[in-house]
Amino acid sequence: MKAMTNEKELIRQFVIEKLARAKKINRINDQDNLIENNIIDSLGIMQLVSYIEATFAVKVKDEDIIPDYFESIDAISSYIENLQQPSSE
Amino acid sequence: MLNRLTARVKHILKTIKLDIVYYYLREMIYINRVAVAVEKDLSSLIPLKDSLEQAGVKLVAVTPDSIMQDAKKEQSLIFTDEDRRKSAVHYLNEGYQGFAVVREREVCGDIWYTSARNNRKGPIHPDVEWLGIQCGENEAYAFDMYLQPDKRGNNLANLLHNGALHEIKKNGFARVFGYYWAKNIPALWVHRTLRYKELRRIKVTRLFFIYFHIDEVVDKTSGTLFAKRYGFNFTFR
Repeated sequence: MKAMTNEKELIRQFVIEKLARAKKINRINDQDNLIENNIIDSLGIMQLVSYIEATFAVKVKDEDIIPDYFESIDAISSYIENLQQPSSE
Repeated sequence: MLNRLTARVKHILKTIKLDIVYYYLREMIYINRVAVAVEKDLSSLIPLKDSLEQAGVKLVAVTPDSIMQDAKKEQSLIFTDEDRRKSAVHYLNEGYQGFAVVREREVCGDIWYTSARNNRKGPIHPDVEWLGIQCGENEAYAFDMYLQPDKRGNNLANLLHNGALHEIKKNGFARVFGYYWAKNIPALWVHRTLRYKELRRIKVTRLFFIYFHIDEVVDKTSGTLFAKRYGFNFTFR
């Protein structure tokens, strides 16, 4: 649970500093829609995917780059948590 | 092994300041690059609202008149990238139709489409054959969306693409086809946020102007591969 909170904070920090601040947004809640609010656009998603792969040591498949997984801090955090679960295969 | 070889070639070319050759060769020679063919039902478009105005741009049709290089004319468009202007001239000569997002009169980006209404001999576009797309009477094929590198960001790609879809719908089309490369994350994101539906994935191997295609048909529920189609063509693209 604590790890997930840390994850969320790291993601929030990245999204605010690299994607939102240029749009004069300094505060983002866990459920805020990052796509409808134009915080994540086509360039932003590329930066975000690189950041997630580098920071959380996971591989984001192109099939997974869908709005449902990246629409909010909560959604991104849950997606990363799923990626980090050991595979049952 | 292949990755190491590629990295080595890149390093050598960079050292002798030929990295531009590397980037050119990378587009002329590749193996198993995955193209994703997609379709969009135009009955369910994302509303435009005032988003274009808020971004300080307008969506305009690209016409032969508007790309004449007479900057004094009020309706003429200014392409800062001459190659892009030449592409636009070529596309118009082919009978394709295009839209551009412009700030003042400067083109920030453009996108093109064609359909069976374009009275060309043969296929409506060289891509549709290898993509396995068959455009019906009220269906269009959209292609070659491009944004000027210094204008990227601020959701402009979505605004351009979504704006073009609205215009295509106004022109009486019910469905649009297209494709993107699976590794091209910005293009992938634009298509997915606009709710395009994935049709198939095609592996493309290119050796200059010779293309090989492998179309893998996979059962979506079980993930089982139940057919493979092979194709080959020779095209100047």
